[in-house]
Amino acid sequence: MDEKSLVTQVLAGEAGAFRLLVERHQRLVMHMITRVVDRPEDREELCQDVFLRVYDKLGEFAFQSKLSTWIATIAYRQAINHLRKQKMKWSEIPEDDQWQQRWGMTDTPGDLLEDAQQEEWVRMLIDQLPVQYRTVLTLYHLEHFDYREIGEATGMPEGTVKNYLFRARQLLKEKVILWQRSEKV
Amino acid sequence: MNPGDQQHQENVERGQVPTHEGERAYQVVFRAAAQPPRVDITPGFADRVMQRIAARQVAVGRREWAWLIAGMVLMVLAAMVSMVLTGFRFNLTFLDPVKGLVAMGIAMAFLFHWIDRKWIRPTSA
Repeated sequence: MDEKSLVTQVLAGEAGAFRLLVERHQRLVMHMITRVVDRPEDREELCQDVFLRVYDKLGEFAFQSKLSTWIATIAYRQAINHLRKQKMKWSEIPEDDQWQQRWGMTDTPGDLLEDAQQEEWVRMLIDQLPVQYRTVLTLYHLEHFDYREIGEATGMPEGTVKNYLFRARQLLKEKVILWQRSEKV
Repeated sequence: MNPGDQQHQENVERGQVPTHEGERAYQVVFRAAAQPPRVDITPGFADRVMQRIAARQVAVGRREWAWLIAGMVLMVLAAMVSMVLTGFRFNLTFLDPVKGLVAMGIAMAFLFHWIDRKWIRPTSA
């Protein structure tokens, strides 16, 4: 069933259609919430809240973007609002030298790692990046959104999206190189 | 943006075989970023969303009924208070000259309502 028919059926009150919509987009929402919200106990309820919001607002969806982009927008806002309520830091990208020094000092694994373990370690590093970097990385690499769609979902200009994506990858690469060099010594 | 890094990122994204330390590191980063986070959807997630929607609809329905009843009670009370304060008495004799017109108006209202329920609503649902 295409997006338009699915949305039309949901708006006509078919519960089965909304269940299908949830099943199609639950991974996207869970990935976004998981990457932004650190506390595991909050994640499931937040994901449910995202879909309740989708249910309430679906009548306003005008097919000007893909449904997944629109749902990602709601998920991102919901996650950021949650961080605000919890008074967690999220708004500023720490561009100061202090943060970058701290980032540079985070431990590298001492032992030789298999490829899979290496990727697991990089995934842990991703979770330590600022929220915006994590979100952009997730939407681009995992959900295959393009720059414009990421911009729509997060409210960031396309140039900022490109810059954050570049910077996030660069930060991670520097850590990987440091580790690879230490392996060779 | 560092042009060297930009080139390395583009090469890895195009799937080129890495020839440089930076490209090899980017390859690890790209592979890791494409992996989903460890936490995943628990079974029955969609069911729990549907249950919350159903529970909320019941609550909203109850609240709407409560407001409707409260509104009707308040309206009747306000009417009674006004009648007591103003000494108003029902007197519909002013309608005598247009009795037929009023009757026809009521009949038309019923007719349109019936047509709406019988023919218009079923086809637009």
